[in-house]
Amino acid sequence: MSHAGFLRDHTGGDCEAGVIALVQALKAAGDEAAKQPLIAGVARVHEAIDTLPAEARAILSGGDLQILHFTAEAALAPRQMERARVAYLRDAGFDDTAIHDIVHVVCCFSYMNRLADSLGVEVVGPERLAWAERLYGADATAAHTAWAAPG
Amino acid sequence: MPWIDLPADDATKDLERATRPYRKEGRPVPSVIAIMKPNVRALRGVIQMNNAVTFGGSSLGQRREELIATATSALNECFY
Repeated sequence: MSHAGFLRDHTGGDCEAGVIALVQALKAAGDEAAKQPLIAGVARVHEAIDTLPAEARAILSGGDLQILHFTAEAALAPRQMERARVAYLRDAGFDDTAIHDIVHVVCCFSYMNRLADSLGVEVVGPERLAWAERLYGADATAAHTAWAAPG
Repeated sequence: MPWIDLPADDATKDLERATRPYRKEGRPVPSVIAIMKPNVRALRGVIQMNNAVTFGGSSLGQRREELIATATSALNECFY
């Protein structure tokens, strides 16, 4: 979530609406995917990436869509990975160092997500909570706060 | 509050040293880093890993790193 803020800051221009649209589309697809069998769920995420709203597409540049498809697969269904997925990135113009780094960043954030969500790491501070509300919506942010609260 | 008890930043010499950069910047240890305080070796290792592959540390550039981070967290509905 905080990294969506970094994405906004490093994309340039007035891109906040695009970042929010991207996050909301991927979150919704992730929510749907979580309710389905693994392979069908990942297929739903690929479909969502192919039909991102125009605002979200506007902040993407060459190669970003391929990165998003690869990220979805690596983050949600690593068992689906095969040589062809690497070739897919290579065909999009990424060299082997870049492909390695894409995988490493997905791994790093998958790790941090699991660490945070397994041990109740919550968003704190009014500024960050306000950003969470803009990104994920008030209901999801309230649910997050309740999730982290002592029982 | 996280669901496990965490030691104070200065509970041991190692932990004090590992968390010192944040105090120098006048800010608390980020909660997702603080959660690793029970194992200071893991905390140090993860910080090194984060610096190697994020915050502009990879060949991708920070915008693309943040795109991947943002997508991964959104797909997982993780607030981190």
